[in-house]
Amino acid sequence: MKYYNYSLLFASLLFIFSGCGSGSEPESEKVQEDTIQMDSVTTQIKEFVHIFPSHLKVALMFKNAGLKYDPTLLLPLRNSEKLVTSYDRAFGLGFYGVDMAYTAINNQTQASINLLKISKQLSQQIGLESVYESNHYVEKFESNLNDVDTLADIIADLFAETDAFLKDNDKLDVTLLTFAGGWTESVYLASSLAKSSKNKAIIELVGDQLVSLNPLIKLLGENQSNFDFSLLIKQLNETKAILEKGIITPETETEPMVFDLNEAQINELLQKLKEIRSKVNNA
Amino acid sequence: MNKIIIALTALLFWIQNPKAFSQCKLKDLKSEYLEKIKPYEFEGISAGVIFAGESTTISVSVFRNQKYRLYFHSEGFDGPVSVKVMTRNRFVLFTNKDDPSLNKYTFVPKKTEDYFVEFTTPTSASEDSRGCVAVVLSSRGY
Repeated sequence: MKYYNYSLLFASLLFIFSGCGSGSEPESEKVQEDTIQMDSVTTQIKEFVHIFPSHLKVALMFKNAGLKYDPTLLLPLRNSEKLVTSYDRAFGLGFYGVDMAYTAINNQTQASINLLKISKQLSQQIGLESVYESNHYVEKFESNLNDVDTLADIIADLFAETDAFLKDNDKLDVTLLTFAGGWTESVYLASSLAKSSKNKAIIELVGDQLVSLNPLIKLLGENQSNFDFSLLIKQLNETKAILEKGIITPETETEPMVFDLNEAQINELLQKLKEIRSKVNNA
Repeated sequence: MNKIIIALTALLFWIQNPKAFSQCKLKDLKSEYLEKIKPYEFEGISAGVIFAGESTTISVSVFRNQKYRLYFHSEGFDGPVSVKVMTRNRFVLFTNKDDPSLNKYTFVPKKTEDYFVEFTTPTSASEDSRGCVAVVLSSRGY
């Protein structure tokens, strides 16, 4: 019995001390530079993850800018069955999540609920089942099919819960992969419709999505212990370079950048986004 | 004997891993702030544990012409935590220097950019003292 007691204590102490230094150490050095660089910030923050824009907010901003609904742009639902690795499922979750938000805010509730079910399935396959089980999202969604605002609230909560669960459980790599998928799908949908509509406000908003790319690429580079993000990082850097060609006047301290994309640049952007999307679309 | 060992283990675990016992779980913080931020809507959150007397920075992306409110959360420290919101070029947009009880900042950015929220926590007599800091981003309208 005594042996059991001391074993328990020893095992507990081992567990406790193995937790030391696992990411809670703060960076004590103050940043001395005049400009805050992402390098220094990410070194400093360790456990503190950049707050990326919510996909739902981005979808609503695009809609308000005039983005129309085009169901032919959505990823086919059946593709989700071909996603077999954790990488592909986490990445696909981001794409289907944005498609779900896009359909819901455009009153396409049946399409949206189908996408919610796909998201639930993918989430379960990567260990996020408790997010759905404890919050009953599918049931809540089905009970509010005629209320688009409530559906948007449910999706917002689902995104936030998923994000919190992943970060609380040290799955930052999955968070980033999912965000990268959602970012790609948002910009793909907007660019596809900007190409046909020539809507300047949508194109300007596409340019604004550059804001997420620097922290995303940086964090992907730093979180590759479970996944190899090298191809995705390369593709996102190439996407960034294409978007940067659209900067007509760079931002100043107080004024935003002036951004526009001509048809050839939109085509180049779409080609790159399709290449990234093919991981899920042609799985 | 068993009870003593369990109590001692729990105590040691708490000392070494306060995050596990404090309200520094994003899920809990999110639930806590969902009501507090109304009529604003929840956009995102970042949180973590830092030592007393240290600083840390949390970055956040914001879009031009959108109405945002940032909430600053801290717990577990012996005194007020100072907060600054800055642009990349360290231009200070908000500080609670004159009123440490200020825990939110409402703004409409003129351009799409990253903001940096810097927390500086008070020193403590205890070397191992630490607490939780968090930023909650909320927005209103689109």
